[in-house]
Order: sequence, then structure tokens, then C-alpha cells
Amino acid sequence: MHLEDRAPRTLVRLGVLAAAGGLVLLTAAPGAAAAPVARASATALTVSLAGTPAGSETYAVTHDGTRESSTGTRTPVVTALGGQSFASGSVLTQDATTSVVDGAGRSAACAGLAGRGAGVGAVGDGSCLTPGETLTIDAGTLDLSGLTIVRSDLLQGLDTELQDALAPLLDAALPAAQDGLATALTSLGDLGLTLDLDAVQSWCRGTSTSADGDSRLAGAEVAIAVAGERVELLSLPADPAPNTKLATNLDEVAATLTAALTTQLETGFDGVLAPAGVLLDELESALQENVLAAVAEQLAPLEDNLLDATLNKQVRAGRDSIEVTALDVEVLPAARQLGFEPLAVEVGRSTCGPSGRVVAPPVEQTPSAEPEAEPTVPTSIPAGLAGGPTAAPADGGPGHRGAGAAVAALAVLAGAAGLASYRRAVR
Amino acid sequence: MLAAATTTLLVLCVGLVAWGAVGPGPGSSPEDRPVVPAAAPLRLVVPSLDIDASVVPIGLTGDAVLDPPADATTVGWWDDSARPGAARGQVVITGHTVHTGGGALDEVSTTSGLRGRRIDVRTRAGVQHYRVLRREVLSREEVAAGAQGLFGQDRRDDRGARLVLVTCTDWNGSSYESNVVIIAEPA
Repeated sequence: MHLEDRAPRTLVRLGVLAAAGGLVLLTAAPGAAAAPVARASATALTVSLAGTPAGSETYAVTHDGTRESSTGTRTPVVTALGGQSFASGSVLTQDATTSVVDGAGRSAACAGLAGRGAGVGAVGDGSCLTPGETLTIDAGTLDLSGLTIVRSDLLQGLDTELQDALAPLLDAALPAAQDGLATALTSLGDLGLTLDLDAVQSWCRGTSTSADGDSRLAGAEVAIAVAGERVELLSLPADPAPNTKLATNLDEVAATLTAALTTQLETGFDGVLAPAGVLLDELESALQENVLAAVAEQLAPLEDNLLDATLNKQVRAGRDSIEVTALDVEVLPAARQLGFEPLAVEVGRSTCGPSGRVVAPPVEQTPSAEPEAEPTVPTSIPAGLAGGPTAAPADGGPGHRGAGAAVAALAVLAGAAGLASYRRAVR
Repeated sequence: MLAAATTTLLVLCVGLVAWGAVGPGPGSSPEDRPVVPAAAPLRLVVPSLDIDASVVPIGLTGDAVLDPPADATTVGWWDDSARPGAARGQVVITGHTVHTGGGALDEVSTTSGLRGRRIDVRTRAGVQHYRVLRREVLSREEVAAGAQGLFGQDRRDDRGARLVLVTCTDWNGSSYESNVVIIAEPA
């Protein structure tokens, strides 16, 4: 084959290929352009450490009116997040479903986290988790080693007589106060903050006209370990109203620290302030008050708020769309100054909607955009005659009546052809 | 001799094949084309009644009368009605019944129990098959009163435009008193 012959053929082949590809794309275009009529998603757990989110990722489904498609997994496995293994042994569930009923989209989702042994139910029936063992999430350890007592703290508010009496003793009193604080802090031990839960979950349902959802928190508590003892800071309600806000303070920690520090200062100041003579008790009391005030001032941010939690958080983008998060917890910035990592935890986030209706394809293609007026209908059809037909068949086409004649003509023609062939052979 | 026989058979074969390809014939299979694009009808075939008639377009007179073709062996398709294969409307076809015989729809006039019978309407696009749903005998007054329902073109059906076949019945000795209306749906 010549090279010049191949070039046009190759061009033709490329043209055919391009045309076929174009046809395929045109065929796929309506489906690709079709907007989903229902959608839902579920996320069991998201933990953001220092602004970096990690967790079970999201299982999402959409329905285009013909079929459902999904991304993600319904059975997430999270072995470790941020160096802690709280998810090991836990039960995470995230499931979502969509359907089309009578041409209208519907959606349902459920997501949550529970302890070992929890039961997982079906999506669409509300709750999808039954509690198992208690699961403990380490929310961080409070580090109060940054608390300090400085010279000016001791002198705060003392009158002239007490200041004169304290002046020769200040160099000894300040270390005593600092040692007392360090000892008191040591007695508190590791201040580990935990979130305990049996099962925390949210669910939602959506139609083309509405969407609703709810959350349930079974056995959910925020606790802190103080001096080796577990102190419950907050017990979360099992069935909270939508968008219930809760703030956790550290009153318990501050009170325990104050009691321990008071004991230490009483012992520490006794020997150091003895030379003050008759002013000993008055000076000791004033210094204790100043030290406790200085510590309280430094603990003030934690006494206001430590954790900011929203229970059964519900966000609506429209009447047919809802996002429900069972538990949304964030460590406040003030706590980060005292050793907490920036931490945010979302447990059980479900989204449903928006939903739409399946658009019916046009019933009939009409070349004209203008609707044609309905014609006047006949009200009389006089389709009977007394006499015989007045004309012969008008179409001239071969019907039954002409079939015999046509076959006969064909037989004559075939016979003639055979005769001609015979004569030629004889010659 | 052998060559002559061969030639004869060859011509016969070619002729018969050509006949089968172009001849419409009442023996057309219902599996020809179950769904056809909408097109004007050319031929009406009712195999069970041995009806095979050509179809011509007809229109309404000014007083809303639909007169069948003067040639009683042909039938008329109301040209403002749906075309066979259309998604909506009704295909209205009418033909004469002749008292002395020879009308295209004589058998329709006299045969009851047509439910389930097949009717084929051939168009340029293929053959649209129908199945008879019912046969009604209506007086002139009843036809006039029910005209919109019988022949209206605003009718929609999932199966597409149905066929309405009309002729006359009830010969009283001098004229026909009623219409017989066959309603058939696309098969």
C-alpha cells in the first residue's frame, strides 16, 4: 500500500472515531447534567487537631432519579487519631440512603460513635446505635505548671506597716509561696480531661417538602482527674433540644487547688514570717490572700470556660435540607494557653436533602413551539350507503384480488425464460 | 433441458422473493415493527375480517360532518386527527358500509365480538398494530353528544394515540340509523 493512500484513510478513521466519541458524549450529557433529586451523607467522627481534620471521612449518596450512587464507606475503621487510640474497640457507624417515591426524592442518614459491643441498626428508622460499653475520649491534659507567684503579687494591697514588716522577710517569703504553689500543683496530679460516652448519634430524614432530624447522647459526660480522683464536670442530657449550648468550667479544679495551696502556705509561711512578731498572723493572712488572688487571676480564663459544646446541633439550608451533629465540642482558645492542643471533636453528623422531583421527559416532540389549537371534532359521520361502490380501488397496489393474476404472469414469464434458454441450448 | 428448467426456477424464485418484499399482503407479521414513528396512514388491514383497504386523508365539512371517501372501497383518515404512532390524540378513520355489499367496512358493521382482534395501519414509517378494546353502536344523537370524547385530540395515554374506526349500522330499509365505533389501542 502506498503511503499517500494511507493518509486519507487515517484521516477518515480519525474522523469516524471523533464522531463516535461525540455521539457517546452527547448520549451521556443528559445524565451527567441531571441534578440529583435526593442526597444524604453521614460522618461518624471528625477530630480536628491543630486545625487538621481527621476521622472516619464521609459516606455520601445521591440519587439522580434513576439510580443511587455513593462515595466513601459505611463501615469506617479509625485506629488512631492524633496519637490517641480512643477509637480502637469503638463502634463507628455512618450510613445514608436515598430513594424516589412517586417521583419525589427522599433521603435518610444516621451517624454515631459508641463503645465496644454496641449494636448497629438500619438507617431510616431514627436511632441506629444501641449503647455498648463506655467509650472514653481523651480530650487532653491540663498543664498548670505555668502558674507563677512574683514579688509584686505578695505586696499587692499591703498597708505601710505591713510592708515595712515584710521588707526584711520578702526574700524568704517569696520562695516559700512559690514552693507552696508547686507542691499544691503536684498534689493535683495529671489533670486529664475526658469525654465519656455510651453512644452518641444523630439521624435525619428528608423529602422534597421537609427535613427533620434529632440526636441522642447516652451516658455522655465530661470529666477531669484531680488528685487521682475522677471529677464529673458535666453530664450531657440524653435527648437535648436542638442547638443546646453547654460550657464547661474548672471551678472544681480551682477549688481543689485553692485548698491545697492554702494548706501549703500555712505551713510554709509559719517559719519564714516568725520574725514579724505581733504582726505575724496579720501578715500571714494578707500574704495568703495575695497568693490565692494571683493564682485565681491566672486561672480566670479556665474558670469562665474550658470547653464549648453544642448538643444536637442543627443547621438548615432550606425547608428540605438539614444537617444534624449530635455533639460538637471545641476546646476554647483560653484553655490552649494552659497546655491544651487546639482540639475540635464532631461526633455523629448526618445530612439530608435538599430533595427534588424527577423531571418527566417531554411526552412528544413537536416541531413548533406554539401549541396547536385543538381541531373541531366531527359530530356526524354518515358512513352508510344504500347502493354499491361507485369506483374502483384508487391506490392500485397489489391486494388479494390481484395476487392470482400476478402469480400467473410470473409463471408465464418464467416459462418464457425457460423456453428461450432451451432454444439457445438446442442451437 | 436442464438449463431451461434452471432458468425457469431462477426466474420464479427471483419473482417470488420480489413479490414478498414489496407486496403488502394481509399476512404481514404483527412483529413487523411494534412501534413506528408517527406518520399518515396509507392502508387499513383487519386480518380477521379480511379487510384490506387503502386510506386517504379527508377533512371536515363546514358543519362538522366527516364524510368518508366517495369510493366505498377506500377508507378516510380525518387529517386533523392523530397520525398512527403519535403519543397523544386519536387516529380517526372512517369508511362506508354498503347495504348491497362492497363497502370497505361492511364486516365491521355486521360483526360483533371484535374485542381483542388485531387491526394494522400501514404508514410510510411502518405498521402500527392495534388491539380492539370495544365496539359501540351509537345513534346520531349520541355521536354528536359524545363527539369530543370520541374524536377529541386532547387525549393522552401512556400507550399512545388510539384508533377510532367508524362506520354505519342499523339499516332501516332506506338508510342507516346508527354508527358503529371501534376503539382500539396500540398493541
